Amino acid sequence: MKNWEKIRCSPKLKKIQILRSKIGDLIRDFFKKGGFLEIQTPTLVKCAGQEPYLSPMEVHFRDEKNKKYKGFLITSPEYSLKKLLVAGFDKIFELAKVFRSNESFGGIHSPEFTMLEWYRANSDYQQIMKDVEQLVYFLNKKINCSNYLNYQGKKINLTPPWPRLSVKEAFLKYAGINLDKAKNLKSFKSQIKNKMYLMDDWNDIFYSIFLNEIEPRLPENRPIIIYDYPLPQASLAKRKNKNSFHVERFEVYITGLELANAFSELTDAKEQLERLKQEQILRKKMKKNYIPIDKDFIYALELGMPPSGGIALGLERLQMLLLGIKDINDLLIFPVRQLFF
Amino acid sequence: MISTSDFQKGIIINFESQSWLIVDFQFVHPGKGAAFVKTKLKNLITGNMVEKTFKSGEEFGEAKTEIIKAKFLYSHRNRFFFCKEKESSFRFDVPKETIGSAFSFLKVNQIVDAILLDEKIINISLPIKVFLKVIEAPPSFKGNTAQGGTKTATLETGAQINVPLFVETGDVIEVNTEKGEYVRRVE
Repeated sequence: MKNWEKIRCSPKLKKIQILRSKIGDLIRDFFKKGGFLEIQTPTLVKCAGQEPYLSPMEVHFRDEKNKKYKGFLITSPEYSLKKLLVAGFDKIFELAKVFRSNESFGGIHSPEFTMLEWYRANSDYQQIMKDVEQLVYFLNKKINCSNYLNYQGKKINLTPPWPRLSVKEAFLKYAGINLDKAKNLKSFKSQIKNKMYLMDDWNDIFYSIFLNEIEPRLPENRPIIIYDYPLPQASLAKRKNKNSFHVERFEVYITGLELANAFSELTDAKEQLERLKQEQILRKKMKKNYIPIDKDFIYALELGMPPSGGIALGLERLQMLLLGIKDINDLLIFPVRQLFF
Repeated sequence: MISTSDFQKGIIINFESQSWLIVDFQFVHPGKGAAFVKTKLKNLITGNMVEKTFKSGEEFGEAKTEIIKAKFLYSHRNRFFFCKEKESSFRFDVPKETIGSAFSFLKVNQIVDAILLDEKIINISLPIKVFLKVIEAPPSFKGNTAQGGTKTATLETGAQINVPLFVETGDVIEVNTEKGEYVRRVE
């Protein structure tokens, strides 16, 4: 039976969809009360995100004169929202449909999902940490009437502030690795004893260790904020200071589920362009599809983006946590797995 | 070689010079990193369970296993007795854990795949689809199908599953043994 058919026979499944809609309303209330403006940016763009490990979906279309165009579906509305910070909006949020190829059709992934992003001008990642704590606490209070979240037999205390652990501390504590002495592939490898992690890419080793040694040991009764990522994991985050090996980036984990990723935004146009070029080279090396650099985005940074904090949070994952659902295919009404088979 | 993209519950991989049964696996892709596959593995020698996360695309040696078709005979005190499909004198039995949750859909004479490693039965897998007769389903009243709802039915193997209201005692239904779910009414 397809999910929409199951809903027809089950008031319980219907209730899940009603609560999903309520979560959307509550998110809008939360941000509007905080003075945020809801924005809608394009899903179809010429230049998708350059993130080396993501695979944007290509779209081919034509204008009324039959001229061909090639674009992409966004993997995140990040570039557009940052242009709007430059345009002068200082507190913005968006619930954006995003698309990623080469992802699993179920579990904790779906090729199409919803990203909740919000940005604050004249701010940084510290304030965003407070926002995300307050938001999740508020939503659970409204949906489950409790300070605690019950998920898959685990009881998680959501009362802010949440525990914080730097990436450096996490690697030292759980894997015995000093990231300050792992700035390149060779020095990283020299600290590794388990040959399972001896890979030829810095980021692959980083995540192999993170997923095998660190993530399974993170506390399960509290959310955790993992912060200050090393430079190869910088993405669009600002360095802690000019020559620092660490950047102001954090991730939120709740019972091992990666919920959100945030930065103090990189505002330096020159460094941003350099990183995008590096990522383009890395994409080519990994045989990923070619994505042009969004020059409009670089131009916006040249005009001057205020120091800002921003975050991307997977809405469906948050809904799964709040509603006690383990597989995204049990949350969505029309999961890709049912649409394409 | 077996790649992570061939992963399925019940297959066996060689890793760190030992053989492991994949009990469960999940694709996980950190946004800022490559894709990985989280697995729950059972060591076939010690029986220990471990969790390992492999990079997507990683390859493993295949364990030398043999799959034989076996016929379910009966169960007694949580042990399940089978014989080779075409050789009824070749009998063996396994504990419930070797079969997993699908054990409740085992019907006498059901043909299953038995996996042998070093002549030891290490896994039994039922076909994903099986047809089973409903021996008891509470009656439903005309008109309430549109309002929806499901009810619990008992199958000929004793298993209890949720079925739509229109299913009645005596119906034969198709069951997905992996998910333990009703699929459709056959007759």
